[in-house]
Amino acid sequence: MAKAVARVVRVVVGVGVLAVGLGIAGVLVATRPEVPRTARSAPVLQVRTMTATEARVPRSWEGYGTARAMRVAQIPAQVSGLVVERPAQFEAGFAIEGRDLNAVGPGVELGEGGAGPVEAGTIDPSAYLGAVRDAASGGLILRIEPSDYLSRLSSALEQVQATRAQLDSLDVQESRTREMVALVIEEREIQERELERLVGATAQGGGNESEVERRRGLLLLAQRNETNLLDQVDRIGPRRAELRAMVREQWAAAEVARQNLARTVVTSPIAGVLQEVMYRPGEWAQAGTPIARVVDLSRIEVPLRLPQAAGTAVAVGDEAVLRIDTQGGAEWRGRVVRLAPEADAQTRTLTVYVEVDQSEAIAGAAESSASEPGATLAGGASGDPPALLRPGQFVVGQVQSRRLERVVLVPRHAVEEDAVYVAAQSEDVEGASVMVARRVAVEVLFSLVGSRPDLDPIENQWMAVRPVMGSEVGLHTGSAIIVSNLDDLHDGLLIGVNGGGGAHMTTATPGGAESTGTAGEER
Amino acid sequence: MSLAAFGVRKPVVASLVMWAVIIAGVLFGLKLRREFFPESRADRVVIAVPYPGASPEEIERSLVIKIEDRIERLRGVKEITSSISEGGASISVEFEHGIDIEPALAEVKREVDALQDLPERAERITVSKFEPNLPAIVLSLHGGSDETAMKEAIRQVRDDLRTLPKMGDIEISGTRRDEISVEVRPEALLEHGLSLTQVAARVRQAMQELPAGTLRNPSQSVPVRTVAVEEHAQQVRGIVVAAGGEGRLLTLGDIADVRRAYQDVDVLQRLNGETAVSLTVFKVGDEDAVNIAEMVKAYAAGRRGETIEPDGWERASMLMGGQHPVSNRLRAYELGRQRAGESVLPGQLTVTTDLARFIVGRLHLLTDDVGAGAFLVFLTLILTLNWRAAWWVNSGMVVSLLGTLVVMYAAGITLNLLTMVGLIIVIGIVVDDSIVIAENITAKHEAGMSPQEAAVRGTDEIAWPVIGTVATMTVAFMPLLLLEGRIGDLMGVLPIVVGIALVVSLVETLFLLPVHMSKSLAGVDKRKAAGKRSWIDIMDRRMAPIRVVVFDKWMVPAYAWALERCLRHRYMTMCAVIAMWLASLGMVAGGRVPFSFLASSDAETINGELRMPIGTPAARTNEVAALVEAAAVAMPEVKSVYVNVGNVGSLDGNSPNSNGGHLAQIILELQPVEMRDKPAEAVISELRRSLGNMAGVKSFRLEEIGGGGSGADINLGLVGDDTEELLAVAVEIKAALRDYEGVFDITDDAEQGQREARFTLRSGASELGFTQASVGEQVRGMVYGLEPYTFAGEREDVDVRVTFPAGVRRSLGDLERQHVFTPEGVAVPLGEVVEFEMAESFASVRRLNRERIVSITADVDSSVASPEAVVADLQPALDTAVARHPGVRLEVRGRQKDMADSFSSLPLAMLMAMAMIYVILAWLFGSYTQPLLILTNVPLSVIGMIWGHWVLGFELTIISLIGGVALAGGVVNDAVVFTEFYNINRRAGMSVFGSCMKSGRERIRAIVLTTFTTVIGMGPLIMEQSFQARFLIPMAITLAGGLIAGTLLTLIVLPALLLILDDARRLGRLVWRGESEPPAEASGLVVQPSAVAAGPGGA
Repeated sequence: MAKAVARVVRVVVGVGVLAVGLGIAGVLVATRPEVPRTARSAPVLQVRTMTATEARVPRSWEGYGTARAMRVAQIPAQVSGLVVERPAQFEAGFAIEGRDLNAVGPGVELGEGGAGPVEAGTIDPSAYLGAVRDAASGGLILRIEPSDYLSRLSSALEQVQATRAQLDSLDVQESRTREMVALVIEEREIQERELERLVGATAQGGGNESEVERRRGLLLLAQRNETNLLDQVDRIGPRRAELRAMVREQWAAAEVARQNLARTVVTSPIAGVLQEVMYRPGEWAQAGTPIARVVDLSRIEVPLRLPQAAGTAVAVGDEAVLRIDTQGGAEWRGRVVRLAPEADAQTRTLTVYVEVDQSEAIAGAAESSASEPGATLAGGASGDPPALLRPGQFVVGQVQSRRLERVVLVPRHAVEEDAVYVAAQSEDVEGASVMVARRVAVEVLFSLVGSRPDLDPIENQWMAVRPVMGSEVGLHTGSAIIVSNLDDLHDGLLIGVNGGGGAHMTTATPGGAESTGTAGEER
Repeated sequence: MSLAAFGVRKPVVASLVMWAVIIAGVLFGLKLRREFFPESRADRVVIAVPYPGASPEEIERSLVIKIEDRIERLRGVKEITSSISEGGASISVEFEHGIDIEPALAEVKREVDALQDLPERAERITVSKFEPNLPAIVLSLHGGSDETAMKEAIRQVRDDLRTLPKMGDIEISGTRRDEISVEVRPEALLEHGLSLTQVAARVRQAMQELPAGTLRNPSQSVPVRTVAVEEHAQQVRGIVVAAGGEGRLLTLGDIADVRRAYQDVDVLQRLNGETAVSLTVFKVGDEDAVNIAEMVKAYAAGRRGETIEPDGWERASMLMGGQHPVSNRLRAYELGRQRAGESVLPGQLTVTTDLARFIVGRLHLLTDDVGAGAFLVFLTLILTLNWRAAWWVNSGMVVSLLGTLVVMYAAGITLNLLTMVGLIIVIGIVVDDSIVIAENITAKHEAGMSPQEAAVRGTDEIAWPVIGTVATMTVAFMPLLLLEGRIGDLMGVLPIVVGIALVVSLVETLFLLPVHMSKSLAGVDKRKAAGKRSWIDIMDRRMAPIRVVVFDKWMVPAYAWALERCLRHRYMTMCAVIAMWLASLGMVAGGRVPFSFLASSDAETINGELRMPIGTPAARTNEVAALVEAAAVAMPEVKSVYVNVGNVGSLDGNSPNSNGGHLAQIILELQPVEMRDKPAEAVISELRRSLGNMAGVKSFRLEEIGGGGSGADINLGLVGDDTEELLAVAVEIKAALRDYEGVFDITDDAEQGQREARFTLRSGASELGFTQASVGEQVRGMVYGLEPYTFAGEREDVDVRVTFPAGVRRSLGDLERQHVFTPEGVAVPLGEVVEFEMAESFASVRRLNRERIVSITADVDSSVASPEAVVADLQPALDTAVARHPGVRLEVRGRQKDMADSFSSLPLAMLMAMAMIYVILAWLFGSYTQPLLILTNVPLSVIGMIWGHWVLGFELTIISLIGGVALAGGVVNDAVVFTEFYNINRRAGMSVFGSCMKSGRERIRAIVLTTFTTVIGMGPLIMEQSFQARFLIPMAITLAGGLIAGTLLTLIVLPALLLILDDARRLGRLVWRGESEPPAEASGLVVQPSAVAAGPGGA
């Protein structure tokens, strides 16, 4: 019995030991240390933000075109002849002033209705030529051998003088003829009276018929003489007119000769820069062929080909910035002066005409050249005159519409499918205030390129967006737009804003700095 | 005639064999190739699919899917992974275990060659075997400012190093490729009515040199060819792109900036804040990483004008008049010296990352531990056995190890981490057999046998059990051969080395040891007969009383007392043991002894990977990297900081490099472990704290590089076709992961968010003659550039790239304002032709087995939680997330996959090993039941393994489990010895109880000694503080703890089980036959002949 009890006790103890082992195992498993959990409100991501700032931003368009001068003088040779003079400094690129040599020297002034002496026609061709040369000084491009034209002018003037002498002789002749007419009339009257007396005498018989007849013959003779003389007097008027016409004609020829003589001295009709002088001394200049080309750089026009979509935004008066990359980044500012009425279907462009006024620059360059001998308007002076936009240059222009749009600028990469993320306050499950990412729909208007250190020192690609009304979390001035870790964001994600580590913190404020990029901004 | 008898009879042969083994072992051991991990067999084929300028999605659609579809059909394909990024894709095809890679490679090539309808611009697809490139050392040239000079100098260094023998592959980084850059001004194109493609065509036409055939005349043949423009920027500038009337020519120089430049990529390297360029030397094939590193370091020292000391081997060679220079290291040094005299470097040459030092460190460590272990074993044997036995047992161990090195050399096995671990493991085991035999021989001699007879009889008597233990031990390691996955690839070499060592030691034990013991004992007898005593004899005589007290007076009686009580209360004993076992398992299940796949260890290199959001400019990435750099430089533990912006390279050779302006790699070299207080993990934590939360950073991962495996602690793959769904699940899982403390760097590789400017043709564009392709080519030219011509430069191919100036091609806004040309050459604003749409696309696409995969990775602070614990805790959340999205599948990747692969095959392999051990034991003992009783010790011995980890504060790791496999063999060995003697006693007529008691008394000394030597052999490794050892310590703990527990089990539980078995037998007899027998303990030492079992061991 005792053995049986002992056995039972042993079994119980054995089972108990097993149970203890199992129990220990169970307790260990049940009290297994849990993997520690983090606080729910801990931010998941540290993000960079920038402050949303509303601004009025213009939209710009870019196009290209070739500049052209609004005033260009292509100077032809007006007379043929041998080029005898060309000032040494008159090469392409030399700035010259315009000269009107037609106003130089005496001209031909004819009397009213052609009557009267032609005193004004007395000119000295050599003196005239000297006057022309004097007037052309500073503007002379080249000079053609003038001796032929000088001779022609002298000859023409001689002919005028000869004709004028004929006119003078006609006057003497008229005077004499008129005196003779008076004598003939007196003689005729004497004869008439003699005849009347003879007839009366005859009738009274005091005479004879033959005497009457003789007397009658004398009267007829006197009458005939009178008629002849009167005819001569009548012919003097037309003759004078003829001679006077001849004088005018000869004077016109002299005038042409005078002009031709003046034309031997070639000047530019406009102030500008010599583009080219085709002749050198010793060469034969043929009348009608170009001698030189002068370009006025003060006003340049550029027909800019903009994308045709610009037609809805660009207007006359919009400012344009023109640049040539190859010219050290030089820029010119101009304004749109007119728009082409129709777009080019082949290039899908619309041409707008931009005018650039370079008067001030030219004046500056002139001052520079005046102060530095050898400087020219065309550049190359040691004084580094302002760069001028030149006709023929190919430029790229950016036209900024004056119509400003009220937008929010955000980094381009921060816009995802017409939405941006903003950091917003929210409450976590325990009611504590936490920062979360919220997706906000926006209307994307256009893109801009240019640095905006006031908004972000790194970005240079921007999107102009406009808040879409009706969003639960709107986008407004002061909103913290998330600009980093965008691929990890989703609506409601717990975030930390502008966490340390030296990450950039935005400094933009609603009254921040002006734009420094190509995307200008006005507030 | 047994081996022992042959050896004793022909001692000269035995001596010759021993010396031959020793000499060969030393020579071949020094020649063994050193590497970190054993070479893994090639099981992957990599298909490189270049498609310059194409987006990942386009590449996926037009190339990758087609290739995957064809490859998938091939036999033995296990996994197809594709990684697609802008400009190209890489497809990795992994084959099943056992598939021969060469035919598989040929098949893949065939399938790829058969592909049709490939995009025109796609470049040639290449197929190759995956050869992991393991970086050995990184050499940096820093401090120079001239990029050209730096590039030229580092190239010269590379060329120098290439001349050295057995130098690995060298890759230069931090430099950019040369190119002739033709940056065409867009305004000039508009002005002259030329398109970019036309300009590129003119360049191509001008630079192409075409052979025009051969003029054959009667006297000679003259080849005719066109003379192309010379390949210099000056000449390229003069290429005529358009000609007008009156001899006006428009040259390339008129419209473009033509210059010799560098490729337009974001690359920036710094070393301690100075601009740097680097070269990385990779170990390839059978090269020795340590030798490579030594040569590079010697060359750098030579270039710096420093002196280096020849090592012992080199001194010896010089003294022997060896050929000058006597080593490759000195040759490299002299080359460096020579070059230093010829040219001056434009900066400082510094070794920045010496990964080969891990190999040296661990090999030194293991060598030291082997030496220390061997010394301790020797000391133990001296104290517990006698001097002669101790000496010859130790000699046997040395001969066995050297013999193993010879076989390893012959078999082409390298000296690496795993083989060294194998050698450490077998130290204790090889001496076990020697101890048993030496002790038996001594006992026979002391019983009065002649030295020769004692040697032969003492050996032959237990030869079979020794063979049995060797066989069981070898079989116990076999499961490692069957392990799958990466761990399996690495561990495969372990059983081979252990097997070799055991077989060599068996030969030594059965052949050489008896000879030496017989000669030694004969000497003793001779001195005894002559009345002489050596100092050894005197020492032995003085030690004998101590041994008697320790063993005979104290240990054996105490054990006998305990054993008797345990046997009398055997059921209670079993209950207590089982309870203990359950409680121990509960410690693991309850997380008191946590399990972690791989233990964290200290390191001297920290690799940081900084990932900014895709599209981040390199300048911004550099800013953040500079912050990290500054914070790291300020830490006293940091020796150097190497920053590489724009490129992230792999330090384990298993993953390809990644490029992009949003990436940066920061490598911190720490002071040596002994020169700092903080471990690498603490350095990382402090660095993280000092950096705080860095805004705008996508991920910043810091990882210790200890030479072992790398990769994220947690890697979860989401597989499916619907990307949106994948991303949705990824968001959920990442959110769930964020709930855990200590989990950081949670990120995914989807890399969505790449802002992509997509353009589509406007409706009216085709009216002008535009097509998607024609506009696309022009836009490609504007952004990427056109490469009309490539020529062979001095050391690399040089492209002529025609593109737009950087200001235009890097600005989307500017790009939109450009013009494209109609076929007639009319310029049209791009915005009027195409519609730009900003969209989000994947910067890279990854695919797994023809589906898209998004991998979520995270790291875990091991001081807070283990990755496995986090994943286990996360499992419900993962299941819920996946259940909500039926199209998404979850696949563990990374170390979780490695673990799953290893564990999936481990149970079956263990079962097979147990079955084989059972068969061996059944054959050995001629019993069905005794092997089962012996094998019972195996699961119970985990008690020691678990408690060992708990006491020493280590986590269980995969290495612990691998140690457990070896433990099975060790535990069985003790039990085999015990059972053998039990059976002998039984056959001698003793009762079961008596046999157990007697066997225990007789064998306790041998069993305890073998266990003690094994444990003491591993003692130095367990006590090792070096970070190099932490990785291995769990295995040593498993073996030591398990063997201690196994010894107790063998000495207590095995006898109890034998009695319980006898109880069962008696119960069966009572029930079946009605015959009652007294209980075993009652029969005392009464002979029961019927209970005697005979087996081969006792024959």
